Amino acid sequence: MSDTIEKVPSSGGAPKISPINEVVIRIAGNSQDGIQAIGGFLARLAGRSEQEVMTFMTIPSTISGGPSIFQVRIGSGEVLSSGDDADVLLAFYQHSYEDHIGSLKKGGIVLYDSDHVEPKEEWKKDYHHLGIPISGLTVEAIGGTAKDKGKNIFALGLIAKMFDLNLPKIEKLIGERFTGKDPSILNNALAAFHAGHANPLGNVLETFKFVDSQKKDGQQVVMNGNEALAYGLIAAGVRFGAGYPITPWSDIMELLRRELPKYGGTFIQTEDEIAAISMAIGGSYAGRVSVTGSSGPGISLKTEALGWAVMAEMPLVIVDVQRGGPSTGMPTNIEQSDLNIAVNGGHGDSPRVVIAPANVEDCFYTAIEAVNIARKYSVPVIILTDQGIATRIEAFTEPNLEKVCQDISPNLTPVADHKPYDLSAADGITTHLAPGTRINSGKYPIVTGLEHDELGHPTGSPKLHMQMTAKRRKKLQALGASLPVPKIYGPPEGNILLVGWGSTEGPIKEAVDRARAAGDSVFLGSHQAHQSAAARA
Amino acid sequence: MKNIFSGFNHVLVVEMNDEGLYGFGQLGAILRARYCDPKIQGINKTDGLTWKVKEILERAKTNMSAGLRKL
Repeated sequence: MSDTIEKVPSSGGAPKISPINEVVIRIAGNSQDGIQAIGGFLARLAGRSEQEVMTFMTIPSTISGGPSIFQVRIGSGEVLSSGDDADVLLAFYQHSYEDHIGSLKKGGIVLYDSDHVEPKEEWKKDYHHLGIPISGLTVEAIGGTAKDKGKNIFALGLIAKMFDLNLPKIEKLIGERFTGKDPSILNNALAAFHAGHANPLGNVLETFKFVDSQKKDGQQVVMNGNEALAYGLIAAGVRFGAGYPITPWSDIMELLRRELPKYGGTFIQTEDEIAAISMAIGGSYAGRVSVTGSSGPGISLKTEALGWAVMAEMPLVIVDVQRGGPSTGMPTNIEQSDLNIAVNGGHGDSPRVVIAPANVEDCFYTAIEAVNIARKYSVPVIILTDQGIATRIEAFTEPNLEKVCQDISPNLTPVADHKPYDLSAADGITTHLAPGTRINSGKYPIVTGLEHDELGHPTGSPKLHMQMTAKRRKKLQALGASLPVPKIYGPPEGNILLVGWGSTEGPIKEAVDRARAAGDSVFLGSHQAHQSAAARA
Repeated sequence: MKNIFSGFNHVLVVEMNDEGLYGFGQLGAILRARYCDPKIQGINKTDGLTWKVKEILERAKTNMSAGLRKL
């Protein structure tokens, strides 16, 4: 975008309006300033304008807060990453300005709160500086508080002016954001927004307008990865879950706790991680695939019970929203360092399935896929997402809920006979039968964490242990053989193949595009995302 | 996967985790163990941030200019 920036206004003093395809805006402040709210408004507006959007945020792991950023990239074409460098930096404080000026493209715009930021002369030649007394003008517009509440919405008005954004849509978003609160809060927010939008922006800068989006493939929804995953679980038919709060998994359990009762379900916050997975196993045992989840340290605590689910061949979905580890580690940092524990963690030979969604939309469909794999193969499935994708906001085509929503209620139809660990089953695949189902042979099986015979009776037989171990392995080999070959992004031959998994898909694809566009034809890309890492490899 | 890898001179596994004791990230290690292919190498980082596109390109170029590690 910065190539189009001019400081000189067009004749007559009115700002020149330049068309743009995309923009990267970095908002830097403190975590209490509501900068995530500004970014969220921008992202949701883009989604409702048929544009593509991707966000990235950093937040401190302390309750007391601290420096924080929210970066949003909006485009009228394809957006694969949240952007390397920003076109616009909105800086609320001196530290925001000094710490993030390096992330701004040369020629980019620094929009700063001149009540708190003293710009540096040496940077003025490289960046367009636009100082607005954001804090003071917000106080003038809506009255002051000790925490400068409302200045984020004032700044949103400035951005809306700069990019000629759709005012009625933003006003509607603000209204939705404050629904159910005291009407004075909404009135103040709208007053702050309009005051920002009425600001003349220093009378020197050109403004911008997005060209029409090329994306016309239906109604879009806008959400983050945690939300998409939680709604995917509900669409998949999950009606029971249990968990213990931990960043960044907590958002999923909060959403499930709020939404599941609307569909006749329940989500329970248990006393610890072990109780959570044990309760979820109980829900699955009762006949309906259930969910638990956590982040790094919590997954470690769940591994003994995970082994039980593998041994008992119990369908189960476990969500691991990865963060920086080991131990308490870096709770709000992005990392993909739980693959080892997801694939191999636990005692004994305990094969399980691991799936990593590649983007926010994929979180929704991966949840459904995980439930279906768990049911078909009677196996625990781990969904391996991460802090980045969990908090990243994207817009995607609204799922056809009539088509994707499924009913996985327990099937209690009487059967002639049932062996939950039938060694003669094709590929070792057997399914769990809900307790209460009538078995006409009168031979009712049990499930156990001990090694067992075909009816679940505990055994010390080495021969049966070998056969059952092979059964648990063979069903995942069958799953692996049924998975599609990983997609190659680009021609099937070349010098370099980039391989990734999970949330790295977007940046890798963009790296491939950028290298090839520059004539550097050595780079080609591929992805292993959305596959069962264990079964596929 | 083996057929896919055979079409390329270098296979670089991009991950947000450490390169570990042997120079591969966690998926990289699985792929090395499975395919025993020395052209599989890792591009890793643990700075807590998502990959920037330019980081991937720079690291890939650095990796190439440094040459493949000896087994």
